Amino acid sequence: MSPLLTRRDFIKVSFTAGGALLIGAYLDACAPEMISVPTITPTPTTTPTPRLVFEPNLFIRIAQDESVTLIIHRSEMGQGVRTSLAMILAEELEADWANIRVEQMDAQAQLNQITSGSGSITINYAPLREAGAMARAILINAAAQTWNVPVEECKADQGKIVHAASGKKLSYGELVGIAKDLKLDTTAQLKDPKDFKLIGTSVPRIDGKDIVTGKAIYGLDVRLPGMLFATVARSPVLGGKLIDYDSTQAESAAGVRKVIKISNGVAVVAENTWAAIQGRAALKVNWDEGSLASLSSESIRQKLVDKINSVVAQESSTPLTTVEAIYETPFLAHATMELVNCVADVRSDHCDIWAPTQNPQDVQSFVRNRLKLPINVHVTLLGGGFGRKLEVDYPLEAAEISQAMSAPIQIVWTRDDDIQHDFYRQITYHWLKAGWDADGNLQLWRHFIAAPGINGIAYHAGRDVVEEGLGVLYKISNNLPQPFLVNTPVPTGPWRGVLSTPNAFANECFIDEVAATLKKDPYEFRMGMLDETNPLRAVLELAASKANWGSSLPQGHGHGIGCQIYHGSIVAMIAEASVQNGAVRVHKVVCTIDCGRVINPDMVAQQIEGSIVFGLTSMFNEITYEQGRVQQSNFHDYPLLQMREMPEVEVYIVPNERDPQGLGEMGVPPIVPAVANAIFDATGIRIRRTPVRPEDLQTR
Amino acid sequence: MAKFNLTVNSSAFTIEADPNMPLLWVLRDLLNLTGTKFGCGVGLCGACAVLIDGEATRSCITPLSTLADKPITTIEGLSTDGEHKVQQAWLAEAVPQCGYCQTGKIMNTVALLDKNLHPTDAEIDAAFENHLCRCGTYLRIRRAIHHAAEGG
Repeated sequence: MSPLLTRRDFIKVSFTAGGALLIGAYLDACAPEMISVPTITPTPTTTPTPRLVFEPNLFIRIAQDESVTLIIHRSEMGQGVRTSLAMILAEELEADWANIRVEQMDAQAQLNQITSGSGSITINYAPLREAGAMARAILINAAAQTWNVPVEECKADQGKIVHAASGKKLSYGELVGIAKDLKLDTTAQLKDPKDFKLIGTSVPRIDGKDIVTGKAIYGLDVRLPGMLFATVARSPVLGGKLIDYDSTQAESAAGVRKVIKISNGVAVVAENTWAAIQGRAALKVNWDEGSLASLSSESIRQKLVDKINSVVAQESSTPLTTVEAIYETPFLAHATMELVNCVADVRSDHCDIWAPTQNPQDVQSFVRNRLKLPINVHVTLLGGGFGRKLEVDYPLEAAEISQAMSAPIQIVWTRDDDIQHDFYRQITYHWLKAGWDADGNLQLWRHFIAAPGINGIAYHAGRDVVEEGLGVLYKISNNLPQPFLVNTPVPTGPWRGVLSTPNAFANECFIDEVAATLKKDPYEFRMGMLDETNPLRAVLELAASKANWGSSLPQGHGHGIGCQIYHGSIVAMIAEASVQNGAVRVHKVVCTIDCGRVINPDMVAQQIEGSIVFGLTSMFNEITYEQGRVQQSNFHDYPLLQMREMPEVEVYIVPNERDPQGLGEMGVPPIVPAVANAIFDATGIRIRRTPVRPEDLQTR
Repeated sequence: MAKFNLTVNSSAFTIEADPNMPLLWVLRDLLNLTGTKFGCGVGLCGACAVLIDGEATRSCITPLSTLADKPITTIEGLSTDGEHKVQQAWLAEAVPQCGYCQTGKIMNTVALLDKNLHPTDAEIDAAFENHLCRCGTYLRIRRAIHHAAEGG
């Protein structure tokens, strides 16, 4: 029996001026997600504070033309959220998928629309189902009233209400046209999941056609009448301040309208993007390089090393046989294919912002605080987000320039800007120690990590983020994971997988080291430390079976395992890799995942394929600082994985009927250790740091 | 500034602009054809690929002055409503994630299949050197190219 819906003030119905039925619902689970610590229980949600005024935060519009429109309150950046949220609604509403439309919700000051932490489905699954069930009940009531038959004799099916006894049918569009007195039905019931028709199927992406025809509008595609284009010269040195500038040449460049000082540097405003780029190149700017002019990533790394050394020195000795190892990873850039950009149109009494943002509320509040005006934020499609578009730097720049110019402005970042002025994934330094008794039973585990927190403009996190994914997944009696926060002036931000990725790299490689030292099979060793009830068992077992773990591989190839539990999902990967001509070659990756109930299996595969590429890329690139400056600038020195480097990927879902868990970041943490362990299996070489350098691959 | 006659998607345009302005910005900012994307500005990612005289070309490093009398095709001119076999293959294989770079990938594929009816994986990989996708859709791009090559 499905649970009864209990909240009477959950939903309000009304008609729009155009005669469409508008259903406003309150999604009470819209709690700040932030970055959750790994857990296999669903992401916790908070209880809403009682509200005197009904403020719906979810809207469904059912029109007489049969269209059912869900106003999407999360940002679409490739993870398929527009499609999967609409699927959940359509399932309970018994809508005809062909009639489903989506529109993007503008920022609503009272809501939390942040798209982060792989949480959109986890958080919205239950409320969307309830809203759909409520809407279905409203339509059933309207039909029953129209036909003067008992409600129980009517049912919803494929966008129609059907009265089986009489054979009468009314479509949702027809019902909206004739319904007069729409009643809420608080006895509305959720569907039994075994009756799901849409959830669990690979519905194609709702934006697919717009994308392949070039009609999809990303932030950079927004065009307004009279819009000007702007670039900004920012201090090349972290924290540098503008002294003065000579704009003579820049302002004489064709198409350049004006050069202005803004709080973040010097803006070149032009009639087109090219002129704005050329104008900036012609600027002469003097910077006061400030106190960070000698900053290097090596000096930051040294602080992490010093911190770890100081805490390790306090570790007491043990009678067990022990091994220790150091693992480390660098700063990393997001490098979204769509560069950050924003259109701002500041008027005397308000401002409109069009932004590819994961964080509409912070864009709204930060720009409002800067301009002291009411701000409307329109969320566009995002050409990739990965955490970069949680920050508010680029909308602030656009708003400031638009206000100064009294014109709509599109701020354009070049790839150099993007690579050199990101909020980076943090650098990390890990110390691990394992100890075992005379029988080879692992009894001691230490994993100390030193890393910066997140110190963005809008987004901050401390020790919690360093601790993400730090706990080893296996049962070890004396187990102590410890995060140490070491702050840095380098701007940092959430990056797909955040610190779950380096922490999984260290844990899953070091467990492999211990297995090798004890001459145990890495798979059997792991399984031996997982209780019968541990959900990782089934996931890892399936991976081993699908990857033919233990079978012979081509000469020079090796197998490696990587696992992680993150945002409620349980993931295992087995990579097959080799080292050829001094370079790592990943041949195949088998991934198994338990992410709870699956909304759209093909999108699970897409996200895993994508996160494997994201993780593999992270093994071979880095952001470094010298003299306070980022050393990398474009894809020649911050290379992304190429098609020729792409491994074969197989994704298998371990069925589980608990509610849906996180997915968008899940594949990033396990791929790095899986490949590193495969390299060891193939060559005997241990990879303990990324990026993997040629000298790290020299045979012993 | 100088005047140039361009043929884009079978329509003639007279453009008055800096001769060095890359085609990318002519398309996006002057002709409002925003389906062609800016990714790196230096010819390293392929998001800006269009067809010039049938050849896949990175529009971000192709100056306006080199384009007189050469027919240019962008994603907007490939079909009226996404019916081109490559676009259909992209949908059938569910290639796009964020989708931002995909129009460049589609144009590059159109040029590839024009020369090579049945490319191998190795030939596809070679044609897609420095065509980057941060969402990691490479496996599906390969599948979609085979799908289109086999006539859908």
